[in-house]
Amino acid sequence: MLKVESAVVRYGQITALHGVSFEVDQGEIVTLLGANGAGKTTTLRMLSGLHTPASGVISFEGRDITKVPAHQFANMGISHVPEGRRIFSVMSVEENLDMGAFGRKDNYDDDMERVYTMFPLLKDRRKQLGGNLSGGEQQMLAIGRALMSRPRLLLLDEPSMGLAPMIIDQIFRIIGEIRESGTTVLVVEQNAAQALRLADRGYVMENGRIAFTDEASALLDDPRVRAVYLGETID
Amino acid sequence: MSSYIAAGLFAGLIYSMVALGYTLVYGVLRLINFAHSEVLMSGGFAGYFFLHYFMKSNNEPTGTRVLLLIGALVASGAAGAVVAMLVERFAYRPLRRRNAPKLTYLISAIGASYFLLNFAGKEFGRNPISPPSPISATLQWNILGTQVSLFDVVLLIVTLVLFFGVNVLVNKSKVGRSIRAVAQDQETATLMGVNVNSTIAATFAIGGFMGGIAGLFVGMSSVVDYNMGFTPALLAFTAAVLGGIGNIRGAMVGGVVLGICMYVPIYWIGQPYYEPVIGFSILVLVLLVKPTGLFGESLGRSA
Amino acid sequence: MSVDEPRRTHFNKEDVRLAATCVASGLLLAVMTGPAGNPESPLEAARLSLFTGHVWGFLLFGIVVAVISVFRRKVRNGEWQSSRAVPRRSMKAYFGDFLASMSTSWWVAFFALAVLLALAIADFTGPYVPGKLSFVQLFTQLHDTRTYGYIGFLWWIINSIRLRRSVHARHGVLPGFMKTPVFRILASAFGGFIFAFCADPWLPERFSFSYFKFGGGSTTAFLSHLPTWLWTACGLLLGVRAVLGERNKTVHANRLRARQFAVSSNTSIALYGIGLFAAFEAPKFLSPFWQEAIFQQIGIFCFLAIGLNIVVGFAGLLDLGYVAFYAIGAYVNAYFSGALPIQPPFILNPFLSIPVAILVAMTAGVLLGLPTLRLRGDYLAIVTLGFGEIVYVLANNLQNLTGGAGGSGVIGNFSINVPLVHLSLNGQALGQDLDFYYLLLAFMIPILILFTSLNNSKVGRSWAAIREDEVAAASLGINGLKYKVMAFAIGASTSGVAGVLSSVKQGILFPSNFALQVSITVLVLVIFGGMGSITGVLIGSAVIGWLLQFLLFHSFIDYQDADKYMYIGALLILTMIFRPQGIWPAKRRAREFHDAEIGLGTADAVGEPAEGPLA
Repeated sequence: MLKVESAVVRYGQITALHGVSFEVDQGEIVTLLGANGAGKTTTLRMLSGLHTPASGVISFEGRDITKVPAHQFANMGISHVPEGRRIFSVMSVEENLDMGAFGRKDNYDDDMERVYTMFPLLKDRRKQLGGNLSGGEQQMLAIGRALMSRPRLLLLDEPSMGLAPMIIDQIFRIIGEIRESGTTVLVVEQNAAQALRLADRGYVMENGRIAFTDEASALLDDPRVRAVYLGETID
Repeated sequence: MSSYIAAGLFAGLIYSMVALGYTLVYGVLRLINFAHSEVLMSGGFAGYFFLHYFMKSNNEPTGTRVLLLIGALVASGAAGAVVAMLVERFAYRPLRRRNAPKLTYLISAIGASYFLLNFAGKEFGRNPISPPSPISATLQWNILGTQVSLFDVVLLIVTLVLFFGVNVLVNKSKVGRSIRAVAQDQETATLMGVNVNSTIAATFAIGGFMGGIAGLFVGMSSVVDYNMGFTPALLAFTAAVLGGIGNIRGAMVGGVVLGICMYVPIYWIGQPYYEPVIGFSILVLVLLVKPTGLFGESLGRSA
Repeated sequence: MSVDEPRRTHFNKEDVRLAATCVASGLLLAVMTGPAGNPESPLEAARLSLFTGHVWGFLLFGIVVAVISVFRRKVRNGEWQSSRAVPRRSMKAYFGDFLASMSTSWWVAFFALAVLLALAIADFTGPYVPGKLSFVQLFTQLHDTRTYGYIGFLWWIINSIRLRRSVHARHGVLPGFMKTPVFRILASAFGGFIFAFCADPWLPERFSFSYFKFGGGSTTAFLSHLPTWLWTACGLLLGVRAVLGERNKTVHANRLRARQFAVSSNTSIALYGIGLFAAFEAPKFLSPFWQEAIFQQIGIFCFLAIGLNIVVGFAGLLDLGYVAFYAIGAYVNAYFSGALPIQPPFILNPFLSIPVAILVAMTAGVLLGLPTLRLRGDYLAIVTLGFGEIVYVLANNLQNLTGGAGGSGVIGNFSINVPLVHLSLNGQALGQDLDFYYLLLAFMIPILILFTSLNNSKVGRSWAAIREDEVAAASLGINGLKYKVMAFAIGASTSGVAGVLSSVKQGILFPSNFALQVSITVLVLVIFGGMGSITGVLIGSAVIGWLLQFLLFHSFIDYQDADKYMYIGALLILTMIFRPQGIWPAKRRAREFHDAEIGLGTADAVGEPAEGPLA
């Protein structure tokens, strides 16, 4: 469904991604792991057009999308939940969801209903300003907003960052539900254990490159992953 | 005294319209658009040319006058919008693409302002000219001891209609939603599918439209001149800061309050050319006492 | 667009847009330099510009730029092959490749184009004659020696680029002697000579061989003009630098990295020496017009620019009311000369009113700065703009204080009356414009040394810290407000000194000398030269100052002095777009600009840090 071939991304003269290649198949949950600065967020930002690769090819559902401008990604079926939620703080919850459906010309009332049934809390606060929500609620809103464009591929950047464990469980459960409903998910996560339990496959990034990849369950048992990301010492 | 208040009020309406341009651009880009004074000037010239070519004599029938007025409003508004968009396209967008530091935007906008100012001076001459006015100067009413002319009434109606329109546009329409989204977070707005460049262009166009129409009124009340924009724009900026820059309602109220605050002291001083001095003192005062202005700074909250 | 769609080589929308922009710029230039209009028939001027011979030169220019830009884009996108395909290269490199890879037929065509272009340039920069807007006039230009000068100059540029490129490129074989450093240095010097030939502004006679005779007055003999030899020397130096730069590969690499000229210390000392020598000697050989301009129109602006550079370049603040302090200095001097309607308690010689002017301007700077420098930088810009306007309005309207729009009384001269030395300027004793110039130089040189050492001191480092990241600077205990006010006050006092100097020269003060335009002009000098680089600011001021004076009598059709602001405005935009660090940037400033673009630091103290990379 999504295929990245040796993508290079530069910030000025600093190279953030040195030729990253990976694939995401229809209906999968794939997770990107890696230390801070490994290039996970840059990869996601590249996949939603916020960075244009200096070289390499990105294709989505068979189309070359390498040079498509960022604002057309939502309409193509790629939705991005950015790091730190980034919800519109002086818009109401409902307006935030409206923004999620910005590119749609058809009626999206039932999608809004779907988001509200997924996150009943949001329905109660639909008139409140986004900035007045708690962290967990903001994350729910950010995910709900991303779902409003009916994406076929959902990019999640650190969905558990700064949230209470109970909320994290809830968020991960909902990511599972989203996959059940047919949306492919690519998730970047610091919380490697939880991400790997949910995901089908994982890629481990180091210094702007894909270091290795495997099935999620295999990665959970991989000593390298356990040592670095799960905080265990190698016996 | 009351006539000074009225004069301040009507001058303030013009500042309000210009202030809106500053406010919208500031709300979206967090930048002062230094070239806005030339938007005003281009509106003034467009209105002048429209009236110069289409108004044949000073005693046209009322129906024709109304049509001429509407035509001049549209022409000057359109000219203002086009010039504002050109400024955005050539002085701002190339820098935005490169993510340049803020100082460069200010300098490039000053450059655009100077270029337009003197380009107009070269192409249209540097002598002030008076456009023929389709609004009868003889019609006047005495309200509460103040002479109110037809010009003032037209100005009031046009300003109210435009502000109502812009308010609806920004708060209810899809363009308005994208403007507010871009104002809050450009990158996330992009992720939602908003085309940031065209949204910013639309913002400049809306502000430019209002600025151009303000230019027409400035021209009709005094003269059209290549540097007619400077003083009204400086005062309008003061008005925008006074109302809370980035806030649409603030621009409206700020303009009127500034107009009145400026004209009342002139009643005591008796020297009209101290207008900018008073306006500037008000600006410094506002910045020192309450830099966020009367209504606070936020485009999103203007609903 | 699908993945397996082949890369097309025909022109797409982007190419067309790029080409259209270039051609449209050419047309805009034609209108800008065309005849002036009037409000009765505003389109007449544009029509005259666009439908006469006049426009063709600029159109041609636009087309040349368009071809090069599209070529460059194509190569960058990998659709066309250049001789050395590297992903990102400069316009110059593409242009060079383009020239180097041309076949002979193209080469002839290109030469023809260069001739036409030279004709056009000669036409537009030449004096106004009736019927200028016609092809006939264009071709009568062929009688003008300057036209040949321009042809030669263009030919020289194109050919030297071509030669340089073909040294690297695979195609094209050069005769061996052309590759020797001596030949290249001499060729460069010859280029400078040719340029002097084109730029020589005060030639009454064209195309006569007497023009090349040695001896004779400075107005008739080209070879006895100092500028001729100065330009030749410039060409020579450029050649030396090019050859040295090539020999020293690391210097070359550094230069590419910092996007600026890197000059070794020996060369730079030599350059400063030559600069100083030229500054002292050259003016003596100038025509009376330039002897006056070099003080009032160039020197004073240089001086102002150096002061403003402290504020804009070092502290990263935008001050648009700079002219106010200039006015304050001038009026302080006028007051103590007794030239204002209100009489001073005692009359002071302008030399003695300089310290007073410094004090007053500095106080005004601190008083304006203390409250406003707490504000965000963009507010500062508009507050200073307002302040400049207020001073102007007050000077214009306070009849019984400043004399109002009618001007002040006559201001006294500089004089020194101590035992043994009895000098007075601006009068009969020395009586020359050059005296003012040397006086200015006497003030300028210590100030330059002072500002350079200031920038290298703790104060300079604090300014740099504030520009780059004010919050971080504060966390290190740097009092941002203090250093900003300091920069503001130093700038203001420099401006005050300039005010005194120029007020004596002018003799009578008119408020119109202190309009906003002065601030903007000075800003352009600082920005064009390179913010924060004293050498850059000097070079920028000299170049632009010279150009603006040059335009005055070698002007475009209907050129008026006020039109210069149009070009200044356009130059500001173009500098910001293409080279925000200026033509001769300070290393640190250039890097700051570059860092700010990729999201590190702010490069100015104007506002909140730039937000992340935008779409």
